[in-house]
Amino acid sequence: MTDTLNSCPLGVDIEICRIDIDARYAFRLNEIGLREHEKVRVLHKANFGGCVVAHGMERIAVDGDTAKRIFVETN
Amino acid sequence: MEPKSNMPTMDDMEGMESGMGHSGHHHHRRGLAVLIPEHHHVDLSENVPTHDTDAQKDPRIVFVGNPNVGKSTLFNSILGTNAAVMNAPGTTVLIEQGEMVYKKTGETWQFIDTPGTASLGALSPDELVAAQTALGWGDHPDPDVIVAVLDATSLSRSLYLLSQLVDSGTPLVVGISMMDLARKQGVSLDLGKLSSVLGGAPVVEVDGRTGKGTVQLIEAVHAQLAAPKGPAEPSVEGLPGAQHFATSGWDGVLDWIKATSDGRFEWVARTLSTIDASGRSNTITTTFSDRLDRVLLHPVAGIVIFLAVMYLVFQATTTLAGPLIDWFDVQVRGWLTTGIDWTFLHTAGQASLDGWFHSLLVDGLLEGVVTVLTFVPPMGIMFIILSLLEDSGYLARAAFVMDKAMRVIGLDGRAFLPLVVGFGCNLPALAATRTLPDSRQRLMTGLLVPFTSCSARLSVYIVLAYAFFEQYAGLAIFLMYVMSIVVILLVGLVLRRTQFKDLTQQPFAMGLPSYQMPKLGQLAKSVGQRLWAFVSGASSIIITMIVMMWVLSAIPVTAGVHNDNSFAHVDAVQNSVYGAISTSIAPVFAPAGFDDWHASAALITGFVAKEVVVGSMSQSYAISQPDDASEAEEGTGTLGSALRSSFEKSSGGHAQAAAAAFMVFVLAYTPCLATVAEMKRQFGLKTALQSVGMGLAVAYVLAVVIFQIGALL
Repeated sequence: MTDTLNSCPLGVDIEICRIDIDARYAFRLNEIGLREHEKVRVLHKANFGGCVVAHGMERIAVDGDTAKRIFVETN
Repeated sequence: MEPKSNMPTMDDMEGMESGMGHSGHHHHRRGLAVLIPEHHHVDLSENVPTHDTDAQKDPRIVFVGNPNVGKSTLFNSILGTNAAVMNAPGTTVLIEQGEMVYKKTGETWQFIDTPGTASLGALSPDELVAAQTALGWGDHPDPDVIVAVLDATSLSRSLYLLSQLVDSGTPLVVGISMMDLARKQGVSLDLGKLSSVLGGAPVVEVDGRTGKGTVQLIEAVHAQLAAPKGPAEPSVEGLPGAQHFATSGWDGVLDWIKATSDGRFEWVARTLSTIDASGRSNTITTTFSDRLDRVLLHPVAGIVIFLAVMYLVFQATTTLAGPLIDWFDVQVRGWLTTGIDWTFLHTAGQASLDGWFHSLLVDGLLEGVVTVLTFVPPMGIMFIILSLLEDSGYLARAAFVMDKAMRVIGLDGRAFLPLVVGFGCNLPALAATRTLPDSRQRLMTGLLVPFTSCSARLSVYIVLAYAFFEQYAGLAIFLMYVMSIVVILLVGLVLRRTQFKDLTQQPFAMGLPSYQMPKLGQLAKSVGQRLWAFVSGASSIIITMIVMMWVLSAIPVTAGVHNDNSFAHVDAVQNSVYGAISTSIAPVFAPAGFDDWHASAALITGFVAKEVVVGSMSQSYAISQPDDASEAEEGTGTLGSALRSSFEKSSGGHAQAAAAAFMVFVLAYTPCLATVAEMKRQFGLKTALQSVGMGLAVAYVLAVVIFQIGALL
């Protein structure tokens, strides 16, 4: 089932399937660990739709507008 | 042919052939090194034990790492007070630079700390400086050794940047920080294996907060410097040949980084599985930081806690600093004045106490020194708080919590901190701008800080409000703070659409560091270094300007009532050069309703410090107030009457409108000399002058508009 990072359930393993933002910023997301087929988990929801994503040991804070444009597969 | 580095590249590391060709004049250079201008990589096939093109230059050691990995803490732990913050060549980006003598050889090494970056593919001016400094691009000399600082709790991000640095062909030393936190999370890293993966490049566990590993790191740097050099060798295997990108300058580097990213991600994954015996770095487990973030980043509680933290910061830099400021202002001033008096009395006699030289020392030089000293407490407290917020890891969260709100004027969430602190004192607020990682945002925030209504301006509001608005005095004062916020937003929006058009609204996606307990020793050292930088950097301009003000008020322009005015003996302010200047500029304020020399004299004094505006007014009206009179009492008393009389006359019967205009002018123009000095120290003379000019322009326009509208009501 396809969802977005800011609306998917907390604490569940998800797989990133598409990042729909400007290419150069999407590439930066790739560089810091948010890229297609990568397994991540949303740990916290913050204000204005922002969230904290766990990628292995790493934690990445993503603002609400960007989180809405990161599409994920939930099982 | 000898390798340039004694550190084999990733091809060698994994025993595979490079996918890159060996054709053309780049036959001996591969990886990212192919893209770096040729003159930086001379073929030193004779194994000359020197570094690149200039054998006479001191070795250049460049620190590179992701943001929040402890790189700067490590750098300062090694360099201490030998480091100084300066602009990178041709930019406003701040880098830290210093030198150290390596005792065993007597050699001097140059150290450069670059801004944190996730990649050499820069997205901001700061990242560009980091990338170009690491690669020796443009005006940046070649590094001789790169110290790559890795975060053990964010290894894949750190290794990704490391893979790019490996390709630069510059010898590497790897410092790995946060190992204690990684161990607590059950991660067991084999640093020996990491060194093997890197072909024997030294890997050292470091902790800048305690100084752990710094000696070993220095030895590793020496080993790399002493190793024979030669041209660069192949890099990451299986990647497209860099020579395909080599003709398009810096864009070629960016294209190369993009084209090779997948190969790097794979290399990172392989390396991680090799060095992490526990296998835990790839698994998601709930940590102490996660539990704290559940509260600190909560949609509601997170904002409440953030505002509470900001309130505490504000209180600390005002209420807590207050008694210390008074101690310097009263006690220390008293001791020093007594000392000067005693010296004059015992060396030149009683008459010397009335001489110009004594007045210059006490009313000029000492005044300047005490002014600098009174800023030490709020600055010291601010530096302690900044260190606590940064070292603990909370500041990164604050940026996230306030991101949406600050985007209105195109700023990072971290810009909220200096703007809040500014309502206490603008000087520590300017110091707080350095928490912003982006130089352009730092500059814009610095230009907005002077519009935050500091507590020194409150004394002026109170006197004017009680003198002109009586029962509405409280409302008038409150409206000044509302006005301050409105001015910040308006100026912010104008700057955003003019000078700062280039500030991109890029997505907020930031690696959060794990929470850590700050170390007292490192904190004290860091605060001491920052305080010294402030005192040594800003004191000369503050003291010089205050002495100049003394000179202006010491030179008489008339003989005075008793015909006995002389240098440093002027009977009334208006009979000095200072008074003459005030009188000559007063007509400029006619459209704002306060064409009066008392008002312009107070504004000139206010340029030095807003705390002395009320005193200047009393002095110019020759009103003697009791020392314990409150500002409200002054406003409703003799000073208030004198002000009402002056403003009534200068405004043509619209005294309240003129008073409101004067209050707004005080709100918006240059807060004090110390902020100008700090602005110059941090951003340079041009920015300091821009800030003064902008403040005066905004203040004047607002004052005229308010008076003209007020006069119609």
